[in-house]
Amino acid sequence: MIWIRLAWRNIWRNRLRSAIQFTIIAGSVFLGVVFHNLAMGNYRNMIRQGTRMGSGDVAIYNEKWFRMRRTNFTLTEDDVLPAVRKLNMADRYFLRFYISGYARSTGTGFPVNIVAMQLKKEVKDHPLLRGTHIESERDIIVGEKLARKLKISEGKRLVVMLGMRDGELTGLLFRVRRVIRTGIEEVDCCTAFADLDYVRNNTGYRGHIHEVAILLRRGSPDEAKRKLNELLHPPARAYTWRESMKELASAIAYDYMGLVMFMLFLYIVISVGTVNVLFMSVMDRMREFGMLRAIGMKPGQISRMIFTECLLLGATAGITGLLLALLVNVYLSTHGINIEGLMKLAGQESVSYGGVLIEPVIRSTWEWKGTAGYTIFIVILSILASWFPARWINRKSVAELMRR
Amino acid sequence: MKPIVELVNVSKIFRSGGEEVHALRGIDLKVERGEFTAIAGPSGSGKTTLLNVISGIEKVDGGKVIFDGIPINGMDENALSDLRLHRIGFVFQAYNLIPTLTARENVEFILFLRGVGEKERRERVEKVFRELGIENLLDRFPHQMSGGQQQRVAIARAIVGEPDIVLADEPTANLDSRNSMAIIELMKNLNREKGITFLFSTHDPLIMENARRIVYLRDGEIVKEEWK
Ligand SMILES: Nc1ncnc2c1ncn2[C@@H]1O[C@H](COP(=O)(O)OP(=O)(O)OP(=O)(O)O)[C@@H](O)[C@H]1O
Ligand SMILES: [Mg+2]
Repeated sequence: MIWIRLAWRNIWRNRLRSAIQFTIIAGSVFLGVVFHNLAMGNYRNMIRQGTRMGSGDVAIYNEKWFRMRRTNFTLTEDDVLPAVRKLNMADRYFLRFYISGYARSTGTGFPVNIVAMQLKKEVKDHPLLRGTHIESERDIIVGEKLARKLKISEGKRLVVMLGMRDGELTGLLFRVRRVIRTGIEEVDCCTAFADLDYVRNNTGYRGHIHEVAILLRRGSPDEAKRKLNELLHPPARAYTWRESMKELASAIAYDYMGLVMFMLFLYIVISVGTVNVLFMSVMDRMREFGMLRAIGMKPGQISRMIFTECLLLGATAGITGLLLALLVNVYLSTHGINIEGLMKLAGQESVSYGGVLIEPVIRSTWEWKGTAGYTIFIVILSILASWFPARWINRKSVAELMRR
Repeated sequence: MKPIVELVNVSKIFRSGGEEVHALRGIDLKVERGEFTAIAGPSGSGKTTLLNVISGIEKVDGGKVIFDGIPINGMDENALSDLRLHRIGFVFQAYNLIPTLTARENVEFILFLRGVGEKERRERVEKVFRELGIENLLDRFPHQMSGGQQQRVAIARAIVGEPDIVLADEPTANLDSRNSMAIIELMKNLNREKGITFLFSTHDPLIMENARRIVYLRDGEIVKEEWK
């Protein structure tokens, strides 16, 4: 109790210095927690968009297709759907068939990647296609740049030349239902979304698919992957979104690494600052420490005194910073930050990252592990900083301290 | 009975910037229990150094310092801290008290460091304040007290643990003559009534008068001794 009382009063003794130290610690906890949760919210949004646009939380592929992307490495629905139904973790799943072809309109032609999918079902969820009204199996949704190159618009006809399973060539007739502008280059320049059955049945691939994209109702992607792989037979294999959307996963990893580097840099600066403030406060009191040593205090007890001060200040500042951050996080998780203005400034209509479209409003999330991690890390760092001035003081002789 | 403090041929040399200052030169001194002894001498004669050498605050360059029969020359910092905490009381010229603690807490701190329980601490602290007649100062912070009052609290702290000896380095130097006399009277009474051993330095002849033994220092040497 006396240690704490002494520490507490010493903190109040030099208010300016304590206030500086307090602000440094509380501020870094605040920044750490807010940025972490904002980043996590952003990633969660990216993953959500990504899994809905791309391959779901987990996906099933023919492992050869996964590696080589050759159209003939397919799976049949009979191979995989029993496993998906047995999984009982899935919320929804989507079947997809990928094939490349040559799009022709009057006068010009360009290569196109056809994503054949259950359009009527997908338009409810898919971030790029959401809200499209599908009427017929010949409806096709075309990327904006491709449409411009082909000089076609909504309602116009389009023929796509496709290679069939037996090596023959066929031409399928479509009607452009919608032209989409996504900001994702691969989609805008070269992709078209068409009806699954219309495409595969007319190319000799009836009942075949390349991908089952599964959105989970519960459980983790890794758990689902493990269970699916127990149920599936080669060459069918399950992959988590991290594996099937490597770009997105690494974009997130890089982004987070950047944040961590920035934070580390900030913390180094902050630690140096804290140590400096501590040194000043200890140097001011050298005479007092000398007197304490003279009347019989041991070097260890001097350390303990300085340590207790740091602990008290660090803990209160840490808690304050955390509470402030949580308060701000309440706002950021409900209202979010709108980055549309920033995007316009950068001359972009939408932002894509790692092949995924980002919503213009970034909402933070509540990620407790990271929140606790940052808080504890900073508080411990600020407390460990007391080691330097304590050692410095204890290396001086009592007589030397008393002479000050 | 063996002396509480014994110095045998003690010397201390300060080196600063190539210059050597012989602060103590071959000091031989014995202090017995119950003494009330002054170390007198002009400024720079080595009074502070002598007191610091006795408590191990300053290391010697030659000779032996023996505390109650035990040589302290080779002791490590923790052992010296324990010696000072348990066996020696201190009164300094100034900056005696911890500014963030009240008079009561300052005095209590010694007992706390010794590991005395809370209840006993309170009782002993209040008893000492009562004996010194300064109960009114119990809950004041150092900045709320005059220099004389602070020195009284410092004396309370020095004797609360019933040490074998109290070392006081110019305890009255910062006080006016009336307060100085009051402080020396207080110390004298404690010596007479409770048998506490005092070794104090001073260059004030009026203060010296009160001592029963005066050791005169000059240039680090004992030049004269007087008994009364
Ligand atoms: N750390 C030091 N470095 C160099 N010389 C020192 C040091 N401490 C003391 N001295 C010298 O040692 C001598 C004795 O000093 P000391 O402080 O013991 O004298 P004193 O009798 O207590 O003087 P005062 O009455 O001024 O307090 C002086 O010449 C002083 O300058
Ligand atoms: Mg002196």
